[in-house]
Amino acid sequence: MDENRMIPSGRQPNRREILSRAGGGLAALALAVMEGKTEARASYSSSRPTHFTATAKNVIWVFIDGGPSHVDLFDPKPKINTLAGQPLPPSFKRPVTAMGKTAYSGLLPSKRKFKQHGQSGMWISDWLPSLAKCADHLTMLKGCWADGLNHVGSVCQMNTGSVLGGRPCLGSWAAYGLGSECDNLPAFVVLQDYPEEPPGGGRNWSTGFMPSLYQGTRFREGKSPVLHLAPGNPDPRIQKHLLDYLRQVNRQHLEKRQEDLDLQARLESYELAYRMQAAAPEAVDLAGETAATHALYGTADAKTERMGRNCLMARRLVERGVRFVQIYCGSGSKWDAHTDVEANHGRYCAESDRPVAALILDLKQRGLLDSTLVIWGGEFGRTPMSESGNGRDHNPFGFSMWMAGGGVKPGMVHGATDELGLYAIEGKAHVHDVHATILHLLGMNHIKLTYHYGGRDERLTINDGHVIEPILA
Amino acid sequence: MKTMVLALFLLSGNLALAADVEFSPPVRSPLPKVNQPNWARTPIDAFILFQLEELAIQPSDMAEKRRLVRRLTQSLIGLPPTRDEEDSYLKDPSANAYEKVVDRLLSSPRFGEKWGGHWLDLARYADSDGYNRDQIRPTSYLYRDFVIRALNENMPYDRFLSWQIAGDEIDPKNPAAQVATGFLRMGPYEHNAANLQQKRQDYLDEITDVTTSVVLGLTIGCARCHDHKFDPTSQKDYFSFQAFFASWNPKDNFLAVSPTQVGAYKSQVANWEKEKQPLREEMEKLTSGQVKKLTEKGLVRFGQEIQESVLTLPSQRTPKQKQIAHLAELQIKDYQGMVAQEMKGDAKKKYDQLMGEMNAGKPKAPPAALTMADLGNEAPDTFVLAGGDWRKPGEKAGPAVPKFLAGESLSIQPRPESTGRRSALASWLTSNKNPLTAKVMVNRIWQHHFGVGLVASSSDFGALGDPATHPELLNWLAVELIESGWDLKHLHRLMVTSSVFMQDSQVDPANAKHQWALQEDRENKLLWHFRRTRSQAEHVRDQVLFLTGSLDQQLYGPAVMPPLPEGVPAKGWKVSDSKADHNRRSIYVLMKRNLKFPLFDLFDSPDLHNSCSRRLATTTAPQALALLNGEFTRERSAAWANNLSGRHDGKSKSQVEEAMSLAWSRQPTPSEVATAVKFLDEQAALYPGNGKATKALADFCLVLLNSSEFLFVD
Repeated sequence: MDENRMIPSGRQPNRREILSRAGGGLAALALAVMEGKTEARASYSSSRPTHFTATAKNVIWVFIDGGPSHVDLFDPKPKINTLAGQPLPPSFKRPVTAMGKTAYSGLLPSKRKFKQHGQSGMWISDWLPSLAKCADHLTMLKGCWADGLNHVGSVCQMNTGSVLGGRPCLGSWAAYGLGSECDNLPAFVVLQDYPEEPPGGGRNWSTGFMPSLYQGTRFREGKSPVLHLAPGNPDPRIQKHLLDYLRQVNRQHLEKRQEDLDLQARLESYELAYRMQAAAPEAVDLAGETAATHALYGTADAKTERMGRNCLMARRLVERGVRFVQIYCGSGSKWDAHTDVEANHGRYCAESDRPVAALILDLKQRGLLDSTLVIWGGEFGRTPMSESGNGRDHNPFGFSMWMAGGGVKPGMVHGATDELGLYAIEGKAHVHDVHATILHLLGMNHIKLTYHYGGRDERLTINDGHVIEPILA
Repeated sequence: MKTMVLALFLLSGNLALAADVEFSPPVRSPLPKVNQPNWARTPIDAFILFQLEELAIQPSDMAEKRRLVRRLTQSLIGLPPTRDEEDSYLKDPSANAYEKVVDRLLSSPRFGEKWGGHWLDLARYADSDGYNRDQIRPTSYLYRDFVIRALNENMPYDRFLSWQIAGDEIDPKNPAAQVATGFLRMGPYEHNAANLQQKRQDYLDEITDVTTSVVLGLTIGCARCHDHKFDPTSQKDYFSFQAFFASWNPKDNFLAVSPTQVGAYKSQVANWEKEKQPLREEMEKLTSGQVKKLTEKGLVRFGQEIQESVLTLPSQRTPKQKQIAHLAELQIKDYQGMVAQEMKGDAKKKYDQLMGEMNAGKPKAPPAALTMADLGNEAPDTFVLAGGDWRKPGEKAGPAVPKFLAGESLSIQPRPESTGRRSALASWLTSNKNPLTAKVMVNRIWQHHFGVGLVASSSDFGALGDPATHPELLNWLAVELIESGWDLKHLHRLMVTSSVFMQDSQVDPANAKHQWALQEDRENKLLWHFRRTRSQAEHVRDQVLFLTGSLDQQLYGPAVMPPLPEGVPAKGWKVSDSKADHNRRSIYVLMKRNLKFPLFDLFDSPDLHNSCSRRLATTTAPQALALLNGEFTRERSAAWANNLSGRHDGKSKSQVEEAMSLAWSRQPTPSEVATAVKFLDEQAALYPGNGKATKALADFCLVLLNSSEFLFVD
């Protein structure tokens, strides 16, 4: 390596030096091998070996966009109700909050009724009656915390590990590390229940500095879930004939350029595109599902229809080999209950409770839950203090998420917040820890899964992250 | 990480020494003696050939002339040649026929559009703020146009660079120099950040990282949190460098027109204000209550330290308070701007009426550029921050350049209105002795002509970057750049007139010479053939427009918004009224951080948040779908087909011949023509009703736009 960098002092390089320049140097080679560095590939249509045995093959992340209130859903804090209206006790450090004043406003009591459910006795509020029946499938993380205060940074961090844009998201890391298991659909698909995108939009499923190959494909509403899926002419013979001719033209061009992998990949990309034209509409077409399945997900009920369709679609995509599905629930920060948490969460819980529970039950009954990791969580939780008298502010200091299937311990609660639900105090799990754990369940070591960029071997968890060992089954 | 450190020490010998050698000023090596002096027409060729000959690798033959003029045109202006341009080159018997084409292309305004694009990638150029609101920056284009214009006018690189770092200090009266400082303003901006101390630090870090990586090819961002593990950059170096920017004072109101025009505008405004004074007073009376409330609302969001900065009298603020207050006041202004929404009933009616009267006859403001200035001749102290955390200041730092780079000490001359720090930095960066600036720029130009830089990691010349394949050549070119007076076009000319550039790209595994070359240098790092590359996103679109006869030639101006594909939510994307604007070159298309133009996004355009020195060139199915089924290519093919059928009396043979020779810059073979005609007949037969032939021809044109031969620079 040193001789490669040497600047000449009137001498020409010798043969050995030149050979090493051509080879990139022995050192570079050794490094690449030792670090398991991988090249950008032209195709992800093959799965790749994991670092160790995976317990999850696929991930479905129901992203609760806007920040769900853990103290009204999973983390009951009777003390908020006893101290209703009073400011934070002096023993509490006053946090910096997004809306400034909230740190000084009184505690907002929760109007929810909490009960313990299942054999595990997990606390779940009456906003989520269907999910409560799945309590014994859930692994509850009650000590989550994050860095960002506002939506765009926090959603960005929950997806990419950093509050600043420009890094690849979790789904891209999974697609990069594991490849795909299907040859007619993208490896990473994003669904939304509302037309509004989550804060930061497509950046949340982008690859940042990685090849665009690994980016999430947002499936759109309607029959054409991918852009440009419909051929110019509906007569299939017309496109087939055109594609046959195009293949002939490109093959002939390739003939004298056989060594060029990019040109070969282009031919393949047209084959995949052709298959996707049929496969993607099929994957999102729910007509073939039984009436019982539709009823389970609530696709006929106006209230649950949006999430019901997306959850059902997620199951179908996973069945077809899609590696990572992300469902934005209440997309466009709908859960952001700065005022009237009752009305806000009441509505979005009603829209999503049954569909999400259906997803777990359906995966279970099809034998897919063991290999599919379902994640539920947003960018942060909400404060015990009130905002505008009946709302709650952002709380990245302590909040809840849950996982199910895919190798986590069912019916387990890990971590805790303080007696008001403001700060995580036990079993604290930072976003990086959550990411490290998800990669672990997928069979990847978050420290070894790297991508060389800007002079560094970058990883999802940046310089941090510990697998949450106690929750591994 | 441990294994990596170990590996480096085992394999690299003395790393520190290697770095010392790399980071020294460029020196010219003597041209190597080669055995095929006829092939080595230029000094570049001598360096390349020498290494090939040492390994007994034979360089490739010269590319066929049509292919060559196509490659040259694409490389210099990002478009293919016209048929006439090809022909006139082929028919020109003079010895310097090729050089004439080079000169013509270098003086084409399209040159700045193509190469300006490469610079904008580095400058993380965008036409919007990013973050949640992603507000459009309607005047970003002033910086973009500065870049294009400077490259077209062949502004010496040292000035081009100096202005971008410190144009406000170097040539304060010159609008172009001021606009150039937009380079320091192109990063994302968060309109509602609450933690402004953190934000201020983020902005300074961003400028530090971008400047060092773009100009010096160093990834010193690592040293923000810890001493660089592999390069000799310490944390102290990082923050000392940052101190050059410490007097950070972003301006959004620089009127980017001549002083005369500014004067005229200002006097119009003065008249207008005078005339409207009574109205203004009435308006103030009407709104002062609401404005006060909104101001309060905007202010209380912030923590105590920030509120204090705002509430301190401007003249009594510390430099840091000035910066914090500036950021806070931008947000408070946003709140005050909501006054119209807050007014109700009669007051609202009155407000609207007054507003109408106020705006009548309001002089139209010239565009205001985003620029950089200093706070005056003071700057807040810069500290080495433990772990890069603004809350953990350690010892004071800088301004100074990293010790391992500095050959001389910098003299900083404070001025009445600025610290002089950035201009001192600029003059160090562009000094003849700077160890990196020239090498880094030479390498970037090389990369865009040859596909890969002599140092492949073109923004990382450090120990973890790729080693140079031809360090002697890199140095020679760097000296050449400096000694030519930082003449960039001279450098382009040197590269594209070399035998290296003119080589054929095809590799024939049956050829014994190629077999040997493949064995010794499979990756072609030593450049024994030309490297074929896929056109980048913008050039794909531009070439489709060009080929189908619809490219609009208009230069410069505000960003345009062509229609989005069906199904993409608009999010502030207002399709341009003028149809001609839909067909402008891609460099003029709005670069919106949260809504990248879908076609560009599919073809690996940069993420618009970070400096991008090297684009990826992936091949994906969604790309195929876009080119095959997308409205853009289908409409263009149909237009092209219409045009062709109008001019060839429906004669299939001459239609396909013209189309293929335009798309591929070569004469199609008889068998290619025969196959194409057969396709046309068969495809027409599949269509029902009228216009079969034109529909089939449009499909044929679509195939050409999807053909690899069209999409690659070869």
